[in-house]
Amino acid sequence: MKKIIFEQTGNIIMILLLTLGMIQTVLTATVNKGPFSFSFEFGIFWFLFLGWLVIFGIARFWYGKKKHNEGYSTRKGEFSTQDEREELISKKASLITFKMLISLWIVLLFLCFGVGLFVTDIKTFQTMVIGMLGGSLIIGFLSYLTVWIILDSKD
Amino acid sequence: MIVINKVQTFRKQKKMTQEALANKVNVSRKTIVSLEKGNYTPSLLLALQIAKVLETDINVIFYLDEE
Repeated sequence: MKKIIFEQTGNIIMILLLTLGMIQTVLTATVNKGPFSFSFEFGIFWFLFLGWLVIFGIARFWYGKKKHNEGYSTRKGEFSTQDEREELISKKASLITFKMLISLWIVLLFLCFGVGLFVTDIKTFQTMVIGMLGGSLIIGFLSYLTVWIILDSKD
Repeated sequence: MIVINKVQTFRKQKKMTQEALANKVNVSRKTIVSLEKGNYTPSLLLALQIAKVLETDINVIFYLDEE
């Protein structure tokens, strides 16, 4: 269970920083149509994201090499399993997460369509779309983690 | 129909801990715990491995609950 908590916590922080970095860049970006020019800035969140990529990458490598790591594999990440029971848990958690994400994306698609009809400010719409996509990925990671813990504890 | 198992009984007869049995069949201790509680039905391969380690026939340790 620890390996899944480790992996998903890292993934959630990574996507959170990436989403915030993208939103910050979008909000600070300026585009001139004639003559064409554009500018944008990399905010603090991009640096935090890159820093986290390095830290998390090293931590994943170290965890993969560690003895008694509950079968954690750097290559497989959250799909690492120690035995057949965990393999079954991983498959069930993936299936539930997939179903949940598909339902969520259908809702978000309609939400984008609905909001897109009324929002006149492009930056607000861009922020909303990035936020929704990043948020849905975080919900996906959380869902996989929660289902995994519930199924593992139930046994 | 569910699969009943006598893993705990045979393991105790062999004076083996859950951890020791888990190590011998390459699974986690938690899997042995789940199996003994009847919450998890093992694959045929794992059932055969457990029977081999506990030196008994698979049909004696694992059988169907006809009721």
